[in-house]
Amino acid sequence: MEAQLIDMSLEWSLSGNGSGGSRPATLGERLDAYLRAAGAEDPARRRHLIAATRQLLAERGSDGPAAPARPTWAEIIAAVDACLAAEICTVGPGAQSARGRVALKQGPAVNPQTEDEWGTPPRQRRRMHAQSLSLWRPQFLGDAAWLYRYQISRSTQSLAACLCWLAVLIIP
Amino acid sequence: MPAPADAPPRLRRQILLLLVLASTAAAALVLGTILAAEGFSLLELGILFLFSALFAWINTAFWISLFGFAAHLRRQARRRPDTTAAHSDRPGATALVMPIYNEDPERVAAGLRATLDSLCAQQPEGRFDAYLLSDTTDPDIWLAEELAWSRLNREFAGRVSVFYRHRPRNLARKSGNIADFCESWGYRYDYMVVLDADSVMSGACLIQLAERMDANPQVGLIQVPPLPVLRESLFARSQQFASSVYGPPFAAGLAYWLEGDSNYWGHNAIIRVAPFIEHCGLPELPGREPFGGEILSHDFVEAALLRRAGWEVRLADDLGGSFEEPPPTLIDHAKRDRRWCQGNLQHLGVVAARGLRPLSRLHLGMGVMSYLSSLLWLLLLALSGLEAWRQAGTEHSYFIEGDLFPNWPVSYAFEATTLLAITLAILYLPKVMGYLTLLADRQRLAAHGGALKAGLSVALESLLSILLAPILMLFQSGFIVSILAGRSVRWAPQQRDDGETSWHEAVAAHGGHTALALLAGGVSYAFIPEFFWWLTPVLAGPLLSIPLSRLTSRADVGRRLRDRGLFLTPCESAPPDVLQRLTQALAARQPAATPGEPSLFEQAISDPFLNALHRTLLEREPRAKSERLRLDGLIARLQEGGAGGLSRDEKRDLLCDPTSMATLHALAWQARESAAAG
Repeated sequence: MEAQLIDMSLEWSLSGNGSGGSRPATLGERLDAYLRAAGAEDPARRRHLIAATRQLLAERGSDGPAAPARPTWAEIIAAVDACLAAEICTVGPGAQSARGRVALKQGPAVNPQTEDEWGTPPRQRRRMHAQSLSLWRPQFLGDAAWLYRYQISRSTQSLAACLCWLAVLIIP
Repeated sequence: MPAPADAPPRLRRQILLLLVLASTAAAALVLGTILAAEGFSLLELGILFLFSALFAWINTAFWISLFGFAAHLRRQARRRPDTTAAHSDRPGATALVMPIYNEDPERVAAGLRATLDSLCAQQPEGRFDAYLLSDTTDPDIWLAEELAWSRLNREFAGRVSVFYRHRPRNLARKSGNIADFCESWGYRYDYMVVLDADSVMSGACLIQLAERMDANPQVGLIQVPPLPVLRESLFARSQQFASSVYGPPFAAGLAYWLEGDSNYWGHNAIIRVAPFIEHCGLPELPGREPFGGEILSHDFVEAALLRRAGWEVRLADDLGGSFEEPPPTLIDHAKRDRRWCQGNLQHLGVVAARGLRPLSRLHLGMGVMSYLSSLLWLLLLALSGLEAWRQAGTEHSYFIEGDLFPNWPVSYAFEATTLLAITLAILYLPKVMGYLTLLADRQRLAAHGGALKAGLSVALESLLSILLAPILMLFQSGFIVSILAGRSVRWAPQQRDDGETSWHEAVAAHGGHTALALLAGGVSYAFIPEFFWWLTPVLAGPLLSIPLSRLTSRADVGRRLRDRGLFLTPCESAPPDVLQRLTQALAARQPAATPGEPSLFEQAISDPFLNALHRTLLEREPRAKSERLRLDGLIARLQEGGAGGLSRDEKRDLLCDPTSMATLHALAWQARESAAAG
């Protein structure tokens, strides 16, 4: 499986570099563990990304009412994504903000598609209308309108009725 | 494309119709003479009707093969390259679209990789893009597809754009999947080549198809007959051999007869996108399933709609490089037949649709008949048994009151034997013609193992088909009855690897067939022994169906025969480049997950790369507040009980939502940190 589950070394790292497991991991250790799991194998690169993410977290903290003493994982991951976006690839909003993590694992040079063609090109809706498969009927009947065209006068109807009666009386 | 016409297509079709009608009428006349010896009974009229319908059915296939045999030999003799395609100044853009549904992602990726490698090696002039269009519902398969796509995407970067789209809601199954592609990205392409999950096409074939479309603006669709390949079980290898030997003359016959009125078989075909969007939107049929609702076998209907709009549908029988994998076992074949049977019977509601061309109606009707014929055959056997029983119980009266001369019985043995011989000839001559086309081409003959081994293979295949045909007849008759009883088929992926049939599976699938054969054999032997001996060829298959099904599913038997040069096909003796690429890609595919390893769903939550890959491929959808609350509830349940506490659909719902996946990812890291800190 290409996507390896975070290995045991990650847990070792999160527990504070093996120093007894009681000390909470520092921000640097947390970032190091996350970036390693995300595929940043090169230590120098990791150091660079850690510094950049720290800087971003500090800036974000200074923008708010108070700098967070210990950022949550949601904040850390958002900061990593923002950093990677700036470092590796320009990304769009929302879910696309995670594109940097994909590029981190796969390498920046292998993103062949432009941003709006990641996964799929932009959609341009053109409806496929359901075709009629109504059943065919013999043409000579058509909509039977020809039947309505014939109008028989009342006197003709009376004559026809008389003839019918005569036929009933005489033929037997 | 078919060979240049010697006679106008209409005249050709009239001749064919005349031949079919005349020969069927002659056969019906002979049988009528035999049956009418002592006046027609209602039973005999039924027999005559069923026989005529079935004879017309096999007779049509015979005449198509005979025409095809001549056309194939003529093409072989000329060895002339097709000249209908020409290079265009502006080659069209083509999308290769592969709809997938819970298939093995590694197999899908290997097939597409082989096709794209072969295409890139040809350096096509026009633009080709590839789309994996997933309707997958299994969360782990969905994620594995994304990983497989990311590898393909990197591999073909700068050569072919490979796209991936997952549809959260599988509206209208495969046809809905293709329709979604057409509606969303159809505007980017002139043509699309529809591939099945196990389809492989050579680059040369794809380019040739695109060029033919460029050169023939009146053509809406070109179907290339796919050759079944790569399976090793005895059942599959016999099918592969039959398709390789008997297929080309038959396809040549179809192309010769149909020309621009050909049909679409659902995949391995190129389609002009604009008219397809314009004219091939499928409606829901009125009424409930199995006859109403979504159109299951959409291909025939789409071809009919294209024809109705005036576009030509052609069969490129002269093109090679189009492959698929056959079902590995008899039971898998029957499972596929069950789906197709319902789809084809559903066409009864389409065959009389307004404005369809007569030949489109014929295609739809023949699709229905391909399954209905099994039931008719079973009925014919039953009526014949009754008639034989009636005859056996009737004593001939030599002296009729008031008549001076004795009433001698008249023998119709000659007529009956002749009719039987003609029927057998009609059934088996196409096989002989297929063999003769091999003999006429040394290269093909050598690739099939030489004259002796190919001949032995034809004999063995004929024996197998004699045994298997009645079993399939019983299967299909059962399917028709269950469909008429209102039982609908569910959408399931096809078995695509060489999985052998176990004894348990064989008994479960064929127990009824064996019991029926024993009953029919016992009753006929006890009451009408003469009829029993006539029935033995039909009874043998069902009687032996359990061991036969198991034996034919075995890949080791298939391989042993291949080592002895039997059922050999050119794709085995000298595999084309694209199949070699596929074999290499299959050998290099990623191993399946080990039992202790977390599922891909769990990995998509915790692993930064897989989580990011998945999220970036999701399309953001606005969600109602109630839906958001439900998803939050699922997240809470996942935190409490782990992934095992969620159903497949619940996992899929979470995977569909980028916000939930981002939340889960952060929570997973939080939980890990907490666990590590003790």
